[in-house]
Amino acid sequence: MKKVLMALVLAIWAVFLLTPKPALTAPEEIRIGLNATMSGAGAQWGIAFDRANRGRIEEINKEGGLMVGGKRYTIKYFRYDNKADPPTSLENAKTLINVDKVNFIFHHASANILPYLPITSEKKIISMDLSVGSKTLGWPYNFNLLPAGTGRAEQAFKSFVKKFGIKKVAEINPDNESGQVTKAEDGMAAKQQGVEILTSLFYTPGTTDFYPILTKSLIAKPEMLVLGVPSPRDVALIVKQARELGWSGPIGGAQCVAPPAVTFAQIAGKAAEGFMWSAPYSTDSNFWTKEEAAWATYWKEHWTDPFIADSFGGCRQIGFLAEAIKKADSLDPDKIVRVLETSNFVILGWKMRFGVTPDCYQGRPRSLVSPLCLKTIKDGKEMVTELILPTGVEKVH
Amino acid sequence: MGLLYAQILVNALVLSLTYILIALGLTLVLSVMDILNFAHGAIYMLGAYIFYTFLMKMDFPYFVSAILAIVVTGFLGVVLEKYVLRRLGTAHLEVLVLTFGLGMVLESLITVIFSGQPLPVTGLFSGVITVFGVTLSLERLSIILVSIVLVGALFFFVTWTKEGRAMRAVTQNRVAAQLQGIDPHRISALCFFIACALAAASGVLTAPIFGIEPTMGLTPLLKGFCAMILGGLGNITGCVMGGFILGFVVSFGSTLIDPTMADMIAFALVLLILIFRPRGIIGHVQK
Amino acid sequence: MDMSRSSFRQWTWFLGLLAILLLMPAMVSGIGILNIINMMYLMIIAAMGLNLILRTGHANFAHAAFLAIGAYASAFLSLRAGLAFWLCLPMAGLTGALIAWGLGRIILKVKGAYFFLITVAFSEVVRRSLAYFSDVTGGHQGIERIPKPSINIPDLATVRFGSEMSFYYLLLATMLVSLVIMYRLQRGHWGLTWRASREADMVAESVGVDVLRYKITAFVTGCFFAAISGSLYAHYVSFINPDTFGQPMMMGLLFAVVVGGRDYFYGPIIGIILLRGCSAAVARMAEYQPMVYGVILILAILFFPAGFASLPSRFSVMWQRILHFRRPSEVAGS
Repeated sequence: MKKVLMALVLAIWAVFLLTPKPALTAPEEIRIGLNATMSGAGAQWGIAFDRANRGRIEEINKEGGLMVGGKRYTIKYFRYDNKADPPTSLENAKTLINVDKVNFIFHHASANILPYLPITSEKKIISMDLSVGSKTLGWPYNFNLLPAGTGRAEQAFKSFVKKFGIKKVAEINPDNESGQVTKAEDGMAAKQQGVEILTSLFYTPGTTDFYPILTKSLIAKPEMLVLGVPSPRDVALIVKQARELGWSGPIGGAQCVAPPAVTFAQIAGKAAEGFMWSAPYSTDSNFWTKEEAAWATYWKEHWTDPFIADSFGGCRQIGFLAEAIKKADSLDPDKIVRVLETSNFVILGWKMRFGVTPDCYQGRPRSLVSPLCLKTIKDGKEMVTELILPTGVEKVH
Repeated sequence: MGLLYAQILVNALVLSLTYILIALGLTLVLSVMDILNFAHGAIYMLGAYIFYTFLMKMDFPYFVSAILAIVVTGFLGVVLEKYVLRRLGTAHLEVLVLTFGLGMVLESLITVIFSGQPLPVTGLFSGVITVFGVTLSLERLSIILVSIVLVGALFFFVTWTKEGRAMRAVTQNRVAAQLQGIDPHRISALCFFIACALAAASGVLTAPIFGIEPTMGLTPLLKGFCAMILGGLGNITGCVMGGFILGFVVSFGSTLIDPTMADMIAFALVLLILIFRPRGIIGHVQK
Repeated sequence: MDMSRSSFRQWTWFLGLLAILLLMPAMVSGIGILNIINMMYLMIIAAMGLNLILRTGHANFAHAAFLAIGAYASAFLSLRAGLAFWLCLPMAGLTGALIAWGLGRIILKVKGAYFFLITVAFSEVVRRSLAYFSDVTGGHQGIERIPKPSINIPDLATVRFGSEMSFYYLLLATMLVSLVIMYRLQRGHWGLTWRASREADMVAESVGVDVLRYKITAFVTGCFFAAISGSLYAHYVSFINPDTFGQPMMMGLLFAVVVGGRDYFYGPIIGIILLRGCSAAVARMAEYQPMVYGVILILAILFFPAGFASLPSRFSVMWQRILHFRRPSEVAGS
């Protein structure tokens, strides 16, 4: 019995000695925490966002930091990997809040952030969110930087109908929270455009052999194959395998992004021809704005693996926050929120705002109204077919 | 309609063979060394990444990269077995934790070195052939052919070669085998080499078709365990049967019912089969 | 007499520990690790349940699934039926126990790797069902805004358990009660039979013990505590989804039991504290963290296969040798 107690006491003290010590907040410091998935399922998004934030924050600090209320603040950046596990994500968030004492949080993937959104809302910690989920929009102080899914789906189906005159489609989605949300949103958008979704199937994330799900999708003889929100790599595999199975009809993405044309060609070869999708930012070498091109160059200089266009999302996270702090000229969360909700911002060469008023993207509070670009693959290269700019969004040369 | 079923059948064949290759390595290690090797999926992934490094980063020719990947992974496995696994003997749960930890370390190492992104691997074949209206890509045909050859080779090795017979002896009774002059340590090392090489071969086969990523070993590991245990532990035939059952259930279930349901049905089926036949389809007596 | 002196010392240790436990929130208030300690208490209940089942010779890979069952049951009861937490908690536990009883009767006849796969298959079916029937369960986006526990004394006061500190005491109390219950069980007639049924089914049966019945009871008890943990989690975090109770949680529990020492009653406690402490300590390393955690795990298993809980006895044997310069008559270790 004595040994029990001794061991227990020693063990508890071991915990104290091992855990990170509280950080003393330096007076002129803004603390930002990243809680992203950098290993496991969906790692490529977390890695992309992390690198973008790290890179941009380094640049900001090199230039002397942010000027707020006459004082210069350096940004201190904390990064945690939540491994796509909600309890780990929750613990990371609490550590960020209690130990690292961050003022702002960047994150993604609704299932990983819903555990702690109540806490950040209560403590007025503003978070920049890149998740495809609807429940996260219910919490104040959380701003979503992806174009509203409903709006994006609407544009996608509009263009499918315009280009292919289709009435019946088969949809494929990954079996995760983005997939389930996308299925609902695509369903509404399709109905609006008079399109019937014959089958809407899910595959387990991590699947690489799509023959079974494709075989089933093609049974009912759809006119078009619509991919809801599979990851870029899955998009390439699905397209390739669909063509192998003999599908010659159109394939398009409702809310997903294709990989860069080079990677697409590497994986899918000729099958990639004609694939249509929409993107909230450039995904290949013909960047829309010089700021986007500059970021891609930075990536190529620092990392050897292929450029992930989703990293623009990370640029947006730090971009919007830094701009909002500057405009509010204060670190008071409520002031910053006011600025975010009402001002226009120029990020990566685009003028954008958060949709508080109804717009063509079905504006929702704290959800970004972003440019949307429809693209296709032609002759192995990415080609822009249409640029959709909601009212008030424009390119700043 | 018949065409559809033929297509489902071919899909099932490919799925099954990918499970079987993994399950074979697991069965071998379990039979000879009495270990549940949770690092097997990571070794499969490692083989694919070594192949990727030789082929894409160092521009070695295709077959050279493949052979190198298989051999290097095999030897890494031997090192692992000798210096790490041997220390624990056959304490099941402890080995499970150990190999799982190994898998974590390997996956993390690869993520750090190569990044967590999926990476494409250029393959040798492209294009499809159509036989009686059923399409089969040449790549998948290569999976089918090579897998069958590998399974056959393993079967031949275990049944008819001296080393293979020594392995079976160790499986049946370690002490008696020692009395016959067989060195169980050497046999364990050989067995682990073959298992890791098989996993690497599997990785090399699938890498050009599906690409590689650090988590690619997780699902095959789970499906491999299912196939192995479903068929009954301790024999190759059971393994193959288990793999086919799983592959067929997933393929037919996905196409005729629903892909998500199909996965659930597969696991429910595993549950049912093990409840009614607790030793698997062709199981031996549990040690 | 020696008895009273040693029992006096035992009492001092015990009261000292109790004091530390009660004052913990104050002691760590500046460091901000109270939430880590809270999760430890929660997981200790689950891990102890897992060890209970493990000691009968079955590695229950469905344990995390039972946490899920308890959590969802508790969420439904409190959100849809409007029951108070204090009712939801035992109800959730009983739901888990009931399902465990139904399941256990069928699967506990199976052993070893087969049992492992059956429980894995069951856990997969549970998790995928929770994700599939999204109209009922909220699917992958899960259930949020699960109410926090509160004590409502009409006309007097309402105590709401909202903060980390309030949850600390709630979790501490629940953990201590669970530990006491399990300790009494393990020490008594049940525990003896459970241990016996692991070592030698056939021998136990030959002396007239219905081994299966005892295994079922162990399984039901262990899963009961898992469901209790799940319910606590649901109300502590107020958000649950199928991925919450996935492989990381299951393996975390298993590792804690094995690394802590599964032959000891308090092994899982040590395991949880050490492993979660390590994981928290290296969390800053982001992408290197799984590597470091994995290496620590490997080293722990390689050098302490019997678990850390075996250290005190090993240490005291070594100490004896040093003190007395002679080998003890019995072989070291236990």
